Amino acid sequence: MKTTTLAAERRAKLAAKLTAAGIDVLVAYGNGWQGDYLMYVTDFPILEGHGLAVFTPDGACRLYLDSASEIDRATSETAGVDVHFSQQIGRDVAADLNARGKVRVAAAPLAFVPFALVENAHVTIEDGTLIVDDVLMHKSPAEVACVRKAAQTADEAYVIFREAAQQGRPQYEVVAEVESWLRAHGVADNFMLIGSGGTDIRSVTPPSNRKLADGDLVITELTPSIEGYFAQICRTLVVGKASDAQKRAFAIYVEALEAGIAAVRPGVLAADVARAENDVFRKHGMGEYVTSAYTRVRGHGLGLFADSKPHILENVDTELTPGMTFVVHPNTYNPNVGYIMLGDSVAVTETGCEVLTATARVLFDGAA
Amino acid sequence: MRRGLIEWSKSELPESVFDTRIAGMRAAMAAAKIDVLVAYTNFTRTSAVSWLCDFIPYWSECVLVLPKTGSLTMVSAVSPRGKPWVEGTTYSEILLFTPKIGPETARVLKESLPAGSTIGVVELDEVPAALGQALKTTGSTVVDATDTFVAARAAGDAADKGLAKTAADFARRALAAIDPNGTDAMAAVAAVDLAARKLGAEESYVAVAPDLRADRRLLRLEGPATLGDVYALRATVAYKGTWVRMIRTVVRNDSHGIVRTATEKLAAAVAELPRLDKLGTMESWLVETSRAAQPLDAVAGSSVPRAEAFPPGALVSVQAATVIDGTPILIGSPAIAGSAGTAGAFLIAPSF
Repeated sequence: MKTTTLAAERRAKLAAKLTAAGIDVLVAYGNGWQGDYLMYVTDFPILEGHGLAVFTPDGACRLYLDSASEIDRATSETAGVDVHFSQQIGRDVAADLNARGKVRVAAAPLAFVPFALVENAHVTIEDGTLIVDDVLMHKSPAEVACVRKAAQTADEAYVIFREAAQQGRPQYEVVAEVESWLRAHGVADNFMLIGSGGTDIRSVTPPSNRKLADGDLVITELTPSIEGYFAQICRTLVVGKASDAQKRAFAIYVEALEAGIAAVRPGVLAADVARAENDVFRKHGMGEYVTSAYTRVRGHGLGLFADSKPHILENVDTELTPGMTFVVHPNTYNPNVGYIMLGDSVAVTETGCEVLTATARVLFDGAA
Repeated sequence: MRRGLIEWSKSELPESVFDTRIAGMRAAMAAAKIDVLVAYTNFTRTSAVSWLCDFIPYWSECVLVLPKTGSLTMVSAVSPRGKPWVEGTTYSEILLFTPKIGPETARVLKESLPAGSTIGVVELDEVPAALGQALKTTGSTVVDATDTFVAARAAGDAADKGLAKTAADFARRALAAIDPNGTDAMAAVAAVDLAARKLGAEESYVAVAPDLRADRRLLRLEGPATLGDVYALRATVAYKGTWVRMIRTVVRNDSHGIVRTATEKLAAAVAELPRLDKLGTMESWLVETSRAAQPLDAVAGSSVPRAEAFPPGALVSVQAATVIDGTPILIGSPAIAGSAGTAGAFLIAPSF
């Protein structure tokens, strides 16, 4: 079960940040796609509808949800939060703010709060996204411990994935096996994409009914959460026996992942990690394939959202500091064999980097 | 993040279904003097857009633009590399990809609308502030079009009913996968989840009340729990954009048929729908349906302050709590409200 002390620790940290910034009220928004801002404040992992939390630096917190079926969960799974069902959360939270008189209000992320909130609030709502991003990125030892546990779960779940990825099975059945294993082990959430095939596959998607065929590359990013904290593993396997071309291609990704991880330490920038990965591809004449035409990011933050900041890209100048957790993944398309995924979760330590996932960096195949 | 099977089933949702829906929506727009309809979709507010063009974002967000004539345009924040996937799951003809969907939607509207036009937005109050503010820069009048959308969608069409019945069947078969003699709540949840996903569910959320005598709240498990003498699981299942809920209560040694009695009680209440008199006699109750963007929107219930009308023949999911011979029971099922002399009924009886 979740630890309430972790929630209290987060709220205290956020309250201090708000006080330092002179913010009287923070409104945090979340939905089932991206719930990290809301989760940080309320400890509630929202699934259905959307929610707004009204938080003040004295620790008081009201949670407004517009899904009636979420109310029982919210009252059970949170502590110290005043839960309300609302059929018009934008207007109701605006009324809540208006009743507070002249106060400084910030919202995170402001761009996503319901339109009715900004239209009906009598105060100008400032963008508090960066304030919350800061506490989301810089994790306490207890938070890193949750990511570490999630990484161990990711390793275990990938074993299930390998066992399930048999020739002739549709992708959605493979994912169903992994999801069920996670539920059986008390893991409530998992971000997961999959792809299978050859040079026709340019990215990963939700599972389709495409059946795994002999020689297919099967790619996945598997991202379970523990106490709301996500960790990710990216791996590629081959149905049947891997070809020499697949093995040669995969070796480049291993080199890139190792280069990226070797760059992780306090004081360097996210861009430095991305550059270390991309330089390997450039060295092998694959510079074109580290552009946005073929890949999105070279890694991304992990925490209360599976795809959080910082994004590991050559133009992101976020400095790495101890307590940051992210995945390093030089995933991209290879014109000879198809899309390859390989990535490990890491934590920045005082002296360097702790690799949190432990699955071997090999191209798994039927002969492995 | 959706982790189930998302695909456009052209046997269950042929293009002619969308042609008919769009024609009906355009007639409603004309009656309301709306020149273009804008509908927003994200991970959790999928229903309006999927009803008009099938598309469901597995993550991220999109805007659908339906003009009074001409092609549908979808403005998507999904990466352009996802274009083949988006193309394969949407009826929309024009696809635009951008991380900033608000300004891009505003640009499309500015370029296509003459002065004095009216933009109708489904659930204007609920769309992201960045989108709402961008629409205000178009120079057109921006109005809420929720009532227009709801009226045109009405009780749903034959395709809606077919999908709901399939989803209900998935939910019942998933809940039937529980070992009623088991005591491990995580194993029960896993069995339901596996069965639903293997049947082809787009999503499966399983909630459990491990010991109804102690706590009647349905929760998402994050660790071990032991199933008591009376426990319940709720399967929330999505199939091709259609969501339903079903609840199964297990009473160990139910020699008096307590669960059957509770189910009959709910069936009698469902037969009266859209009237709510008998449901109102339950200890607690909830009726959800898909009106606009929410896949399951609370329209009436013992804890719902503002009841919304739902039409005869509407597809709903009903949940209720009752006590039979001192035993607390949670029951729930997808149902269809009565219409034109036909009584309301379960889509699939929640019998196990």
